Amino acid sequence: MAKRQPGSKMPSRPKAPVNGAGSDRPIRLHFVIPSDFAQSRRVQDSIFAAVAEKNWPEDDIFGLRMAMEEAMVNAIKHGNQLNPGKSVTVDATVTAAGVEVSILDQGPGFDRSSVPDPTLEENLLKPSGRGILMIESYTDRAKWTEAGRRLTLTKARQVSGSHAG
Amino acid sequence: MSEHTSPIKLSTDKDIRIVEFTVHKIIDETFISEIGQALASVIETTAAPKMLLDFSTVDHLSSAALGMLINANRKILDRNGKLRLCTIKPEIMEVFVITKLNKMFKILPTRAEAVASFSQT
Repeated sequence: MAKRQPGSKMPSRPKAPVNGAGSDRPIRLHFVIPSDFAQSRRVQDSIFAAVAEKNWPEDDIFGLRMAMEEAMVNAIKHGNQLNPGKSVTVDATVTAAGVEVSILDQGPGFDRSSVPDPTLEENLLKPSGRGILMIESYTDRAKWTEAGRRLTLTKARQVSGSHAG
Repeated sequence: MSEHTSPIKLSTDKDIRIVEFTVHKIIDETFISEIGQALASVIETTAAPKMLLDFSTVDHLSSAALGMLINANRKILDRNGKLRLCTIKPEIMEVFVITKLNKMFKILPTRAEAVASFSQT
């Protein structure tokens, strides 16, 4: 199911460890899975492994975990309505500088602007409706396209130290 | 999921039911609903339950887990009980702050402070 695609042509050195500190050759991952949480977990683990391979700090991986979990649950549960006959397609590009993940479901789509703000006083007691807030809080950009069926997340790795004031 | 252990570990300090979590991640939907049911069975068999959730083992939780906590809080308040949360790691505290649920739950830094807080109004 999971196919790992090399970023570009490279002499064949199968399974050679990538030197994260050296060249920043993107790691590209592509998955098509049914609406299944266990398979979603494996997809996420592969992406986090790629991010770790690029030497991302734990703090950034934590944020990505938070956003990815919510995004995948949304695709499987709210998008595909847990229908095992429907699939979720995930594409990820990971570099030392940033990650972009696209998640496409086969549901009816939705309008982001119609989702109420869960932090408003009147919504604080509601048990659901916080997933999108988490996705947006833990990424630099979250964009829904294709009538809300595709979510594209981007997150840059935090640069610590260098130019901090 | 080969072995099935309880998602929570219960202990008692006077009339306070202290709950610890047996895993580091509260993200799996099935697991979250198991925790919700385990908490509900404690809440529903106690008059005016005093429940303390100790988060010291938890380093990851999802919005579904927050929903489960909100439901548990509602059940406790319905029975005139009290819920306290304690020892939440900084990155998990951030989740409560982002969602503004830190305003809704009574959260204390240590277990001792949380236990003491039950006798305050």
